[in-house]
Amino acid sequence: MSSARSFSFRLWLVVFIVLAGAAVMLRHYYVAQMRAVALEELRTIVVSQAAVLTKARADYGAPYLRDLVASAPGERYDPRLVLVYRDTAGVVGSQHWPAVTPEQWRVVILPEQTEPVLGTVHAFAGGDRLFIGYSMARLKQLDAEWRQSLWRDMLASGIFAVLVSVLVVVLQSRALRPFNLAFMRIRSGDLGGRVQSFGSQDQFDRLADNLNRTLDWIASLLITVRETTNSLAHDLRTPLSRHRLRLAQLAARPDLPAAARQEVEAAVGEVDGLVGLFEQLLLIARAESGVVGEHFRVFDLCEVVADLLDVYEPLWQERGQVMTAVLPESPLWVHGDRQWLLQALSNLVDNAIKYGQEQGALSLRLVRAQDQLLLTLANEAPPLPDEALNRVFDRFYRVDASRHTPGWGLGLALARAVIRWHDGELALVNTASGVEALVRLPAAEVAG
Amino acid sequence: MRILLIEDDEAQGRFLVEELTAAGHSTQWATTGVTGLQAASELSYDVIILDRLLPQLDGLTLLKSLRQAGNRVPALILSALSSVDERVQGLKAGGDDYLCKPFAVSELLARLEALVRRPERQPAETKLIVGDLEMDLLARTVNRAGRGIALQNREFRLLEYLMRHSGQVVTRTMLLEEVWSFHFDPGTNVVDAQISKLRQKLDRDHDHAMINTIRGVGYRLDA
Repeated sequence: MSSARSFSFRLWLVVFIVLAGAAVMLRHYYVAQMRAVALEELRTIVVSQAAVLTKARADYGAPYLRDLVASAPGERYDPRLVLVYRDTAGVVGSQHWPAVTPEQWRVVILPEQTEPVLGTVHAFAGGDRLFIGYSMARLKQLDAEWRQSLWRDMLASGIFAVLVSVLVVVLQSRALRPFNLAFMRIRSGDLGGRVQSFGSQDQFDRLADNLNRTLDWIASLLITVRETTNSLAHDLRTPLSRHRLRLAQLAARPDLPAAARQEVEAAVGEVDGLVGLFEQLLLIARAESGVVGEHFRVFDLCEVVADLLDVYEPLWQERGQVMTAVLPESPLWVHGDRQWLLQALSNLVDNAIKYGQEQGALSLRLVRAQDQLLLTLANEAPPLPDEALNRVFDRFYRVDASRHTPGWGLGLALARAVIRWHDGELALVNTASGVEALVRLPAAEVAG
Repeated sequence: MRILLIEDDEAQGRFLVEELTAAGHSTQWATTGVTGLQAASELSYDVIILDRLLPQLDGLTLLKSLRQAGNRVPALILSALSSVDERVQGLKAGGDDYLCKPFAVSELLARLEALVRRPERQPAETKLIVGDLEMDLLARTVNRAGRGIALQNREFRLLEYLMRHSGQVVTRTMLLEEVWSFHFDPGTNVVDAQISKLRQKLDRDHDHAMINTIRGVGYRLDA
């Protein structure tokens, strides 16, 4: 569901490591304390027993001590107490005499004991020696407990980490939601969407403030562009219109020689050309500043492409070209402006025909791939130089050789601007035999 | 035809009046929205040409008032605002056609003609007949002088439009808009190519051509 790099996972990992690390350290500290206490207890017992036994020897003599040690450990009140006695007659209490320097503490392993023993040796004046030790079973038990608890700690840390990270992610999503909503609103044309201040004087508040100011700026830019394109439309068309009018009037004068009339009519044609150019530039500007959702409807892209193929068929037939088109049977719904997309795609078809070889092959394919609609349009033509593949979309760009074909080099700029306005993308690639245009558009969901 | 022109621009207005008169129409010229509205309400015209941007009373508001008052005279709107939404607004306000400035007078004349002689569609109409050309709308067949002509769907639509406007000049822009719903200039001669193909099918093997090219303006289907 979420990739290893996702925020949630990383958050969980961090929390888990922190919690687990803390748990391990705490547990370790606790156990170390327990061990120290146990060790201390152990020594205290040994020391006090040593005192008792020393006094017994002093009171009742060395043989008494010997007998005491030789008696079965089960009869003593604490079976964990280990006594070994050595004198000239031999060793009692164990097979081996633990080699411990008197008054030194040492851990020894005795064959009779299952656990190691910590103890010390008392050397008496008569040459006999007594080893007094205590089993370290308790400490071993503590160690085992700690190892077991380690797994429990990891599990508990893991679970807590999940809870914490989920909580954090939820809180964060809640905090970020108003931001995403504001962006979506402005993206869909509602220039009024803003984020309310949280009143918390913290980083989220600062973020909200910055966002609102940026949205204000974007809104004013959009309004400016819209107003400019509208007023430009009017302000430039009016004088051009007058200009054309004059020329048309001139051409209509009866006293004008035929040759002059031809020239004037040509001039009128050029004014029309200018108007067309200017119109295209305005359209591109509008498409580039276009806000998704304005007058957008859901319609069938297949229909549009089919119409387009219908209209352009005689043109490719005139050039002896053959078109193979693959369209799906069922509608492919898209959300947008039919006229704009029609115009964008018609530019592409026109280019494919115009720059494709005569007698060459043309191919068009329209399919749906998951939530995207893909259209590919290819012709047979010499390949475009690599740097041209991107630059063709610049306004007025003509691939060198074609400065003689009619047009201003705006068709692709317009097509890309329109397609991007529809949340799609347009690219040109070189194929083995020609050039291919790839159009991607998001598919629209239609209820029912 | 009797034309009412509502246009505030002096030069434009004068030029149009000259041209329309030269084409044989009688033209009344009003220079403000108010006088235009008056004229339209008081006298009867075959068609009204009005500029969108007028002083005092905006063209679309004028149109809406006319329509609300029950005036059904065909109206052609002139405007420097060319976007599709503006067009749609104009048509919604009650306009019947929309022409962007600058335009060729021939375009204007062709459209006026089409507006005025707009054929009322008979509900029972099943056939269109122009000269020896016959089109069966139900069966979707066409024959000329008794011989059948195989037409593809779009060729059929194109011919239907030409037949409904037989004897009138139709411009390329009109064809693009009405037959193929292209509300933009595709920049290439798609229309010419389409007409050329239709011509081949229609006029080949027959003694006279029905589709005539009117230089600089468009095409006309004649009997």
